[in-house]
Amino acid sequence: MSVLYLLYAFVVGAFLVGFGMKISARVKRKYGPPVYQPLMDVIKLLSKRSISHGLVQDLGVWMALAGSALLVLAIPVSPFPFINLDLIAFVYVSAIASLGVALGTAQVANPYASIGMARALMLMLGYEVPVLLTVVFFYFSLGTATLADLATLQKEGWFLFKYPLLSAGYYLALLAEMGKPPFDVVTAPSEIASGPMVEYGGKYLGFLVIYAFFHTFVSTALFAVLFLGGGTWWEVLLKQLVLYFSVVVVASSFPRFVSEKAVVYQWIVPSLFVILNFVVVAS
Amino acid sequence: MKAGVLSKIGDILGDFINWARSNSIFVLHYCTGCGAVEISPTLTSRYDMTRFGIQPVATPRQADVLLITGYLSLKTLKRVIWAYEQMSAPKYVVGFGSCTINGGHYWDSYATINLLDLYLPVDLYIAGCMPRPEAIIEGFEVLKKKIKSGEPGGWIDYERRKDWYKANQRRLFGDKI
Repeated sequence: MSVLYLLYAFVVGAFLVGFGMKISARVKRKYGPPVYQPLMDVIKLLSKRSISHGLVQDLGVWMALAGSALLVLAIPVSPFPFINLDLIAFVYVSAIASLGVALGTAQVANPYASIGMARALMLMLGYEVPVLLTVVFFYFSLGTATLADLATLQKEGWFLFKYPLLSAGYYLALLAEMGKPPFDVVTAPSEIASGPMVEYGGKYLGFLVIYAFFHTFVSTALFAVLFLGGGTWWEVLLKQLVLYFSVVVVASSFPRFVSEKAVVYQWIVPSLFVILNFVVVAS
Repeated sequence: MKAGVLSKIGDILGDFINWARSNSIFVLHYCTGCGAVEISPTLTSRYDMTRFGIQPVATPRQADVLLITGYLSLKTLKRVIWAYEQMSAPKYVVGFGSCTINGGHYWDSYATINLLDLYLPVDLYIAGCMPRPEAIIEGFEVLKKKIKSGEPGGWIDYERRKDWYKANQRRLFGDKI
């Protein structure tokens, strides 16, 4: 059943990424690739020959995949079984995947890879402030932060309408967490040649693309569970689609931040939203 | 009987993989010469190459197709060969513009090469000075058909006749290649 859940997450993630490519193309008045383009990319990449740079790179790829698969299994989507994780444990586990990529990148001697990874870890310092403040808020006001409890607490009203400032803050942090513009400093293709992925090719890149599918699924589903009420699989899928649509529209209309500015922005604007939410709820 | 079924399944799987390969082409556009001017409208809104599954990537490791746009000076050719050898295996080279076929404008220059095919296995030439975006898309359609039919690409030739290619390269660069 868990394997079925992973398969479901893979398909939905691939569909979301393809849908995002199409929407982003339409915003730029292009026709855009077909929705199943990411699936073809994965099949092609996995069928290529590839070059390993060493044992640590191999392990890093597997660590990234395993970390993201663990996160998928922790999201409560109705007919599938899940591990009941606390939100704070969730944030903690979500670092495993990025650290896996960092480990694999450390093996590679390409300077672009090191710059990209340094930026990724720096950006993490930025967006984890509003995310952790959100967790603290859930503990203070509701006394619980397990994902299943949060989903059931929203039976009478979504947190999106109950705590709009909190949602806005978390949404801005989500953009950075998903690595979307204006916060795409990590994989900036025209600037540092796709950053950490610079020396990955063939099957290695294929596995990283699968990791990206899982990552997209987890980030959107987590927002759907935290603020949009969760629910059965088709409700969550609908919410994910709407959310990802808005993310892609924002992403394809804004240029990129300078990397230091992105961190400072994360420290100031989304964190301020979350702190204002504390003040509003307390008064 | 059993072997026949197995080989049939293998054929179907091979066709499927060839279909996926032909519909997902990652291009490293190595903008050596003036041909780079025609790449931007082909990629962006006006002609939109991405609707055919052709996407630009940033590094040779990720790429399937090395698109060489325009003349190659000796210094650039050396880098192009390095980039080509970094790409992972089903890989293709597309020569773009008349400079890669016969030297074009620069046919009697001391600093450029005249025929790319001597140094790298070119799968497809797109002729013209410059070829228009329509011609580029047409050329990629031909390449896609070639990949889909499972025809052996130039990279196999490069592995098989490596001595010949290396000898040609050595004639230009000496032993520094």
